[in-house]
Amino acid sequence: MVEYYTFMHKGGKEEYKDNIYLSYTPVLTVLIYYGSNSTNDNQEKSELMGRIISASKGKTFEEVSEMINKTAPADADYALIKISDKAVNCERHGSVFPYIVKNGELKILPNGIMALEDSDRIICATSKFYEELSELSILSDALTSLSCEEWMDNLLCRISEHNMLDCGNLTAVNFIVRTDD
Amino acid sequence: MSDFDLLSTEYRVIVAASIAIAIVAAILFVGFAVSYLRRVKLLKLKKDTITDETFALDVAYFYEKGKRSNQQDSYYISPITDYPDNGLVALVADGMGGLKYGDEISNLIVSKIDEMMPLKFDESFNNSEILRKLSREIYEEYRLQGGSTLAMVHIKGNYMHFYSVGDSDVILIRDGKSNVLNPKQKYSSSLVKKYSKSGQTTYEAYVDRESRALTDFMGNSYTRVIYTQRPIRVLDNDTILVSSDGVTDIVNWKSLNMCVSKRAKSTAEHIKHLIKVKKHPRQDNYTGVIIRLSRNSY
Repeated sequence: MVEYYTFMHKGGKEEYKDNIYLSYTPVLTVLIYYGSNSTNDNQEKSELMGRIISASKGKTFEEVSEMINKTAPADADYALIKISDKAVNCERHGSVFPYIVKNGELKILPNGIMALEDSDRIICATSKFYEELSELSILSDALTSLSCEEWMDNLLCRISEHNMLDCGNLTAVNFIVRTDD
Repeated sequence: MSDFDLLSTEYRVIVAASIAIAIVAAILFVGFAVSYLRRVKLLKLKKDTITDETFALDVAYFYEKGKRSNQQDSYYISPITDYPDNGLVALVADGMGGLKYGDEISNLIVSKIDEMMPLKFDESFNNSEILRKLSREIYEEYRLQGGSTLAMVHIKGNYMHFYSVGDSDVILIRDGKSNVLNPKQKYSSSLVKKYSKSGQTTYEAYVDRESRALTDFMGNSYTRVIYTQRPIRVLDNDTILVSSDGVTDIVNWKSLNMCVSKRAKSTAEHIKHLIKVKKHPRQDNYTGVIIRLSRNSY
């Protein structure tokens, strides 16, 4: 089983232009789209990508990725993640970054497939979300939190200390692998 | 008469020379092989030593009353002789000033931790349970008439666990940058969570009069001890500071990296100096343990 938690916040702006699209069929597929980083209005394309994710049942990661690639705007920043309790497959474009906690360190998750173990922790967020966070603070909150929600809450407290969450759209999703459940 | 005797003199010389050369070559080969194997073994040992490193620790502390009439902070550093087998434990406990028995409770925490040593490094959950039960004992004894924070680190080999209750600090300074590791159990954190979940900005969280109040402490009835479920990797030249909020209430934690020097004692002196020059009229007790990790021994 993979526990996850999503955070989507306007960050003091009028509109929320990022998005997180999820599909659990039966493996969790997630698209994090960093719409607020584009000067263009890509709402229509964003919704199209969301529909691709919703209809991703039975499709391979590569098929979904290709469809997203064709639909996404030219300057799009996004990350596509497919995750189970055994492995994660990741493809990122632009300023959306996934990290994994391994052996007491925080490492950027490379594109491609990586095997997972019980209690592995992954976070994927836009560069705006990470702006006021250090790798050590993300790591220590990951290692002290009992749930994805708690981990996210602790990160938000750190961001809030700097800018009161009044900094532009904030978007993140985190995961904890629970193979014993 | 042997076969050798049947050979002519010339051939005897050739055969004898060949045997001699073969013997010399064999000796040289054996010598080379021994030398090569020794070198490989030495390299392997060196590599193992670097991989399986134990850092040299340089530890210092400061323990000051500030402008308060009594000292309600306490600190503990485990014996350095225990470090190779059990790691090093360092903690700071800050008695809650508004309540009656803050100093007594912070001292009690230190003495109880001392009795429990050595703590098992790989059992952070069990260690957190020990601390939780200690908090319950304090509650049974003092019935909320006192309390204390706790910030504790346990370093062994390449890794560190930390444990935290309240709002004291565990700070790791690496590559010239300060990082507060432990989340704080303050009311402002609860307010931030509330406002963020409703999509709002969090300005109101800091304006609230109760925002700095602790939501958990040692001596509470059901304390949540924050602890690392898996250890954090520590690196060469890391500096760790465990301190009461009397430090970071006066000196911005982001600027503590400027106090770091190669010697823990110098770092401690620098932090103390920074606090003293601020001359805050109601300076709180300030206590800190500094641990510098290095591959080079002192």
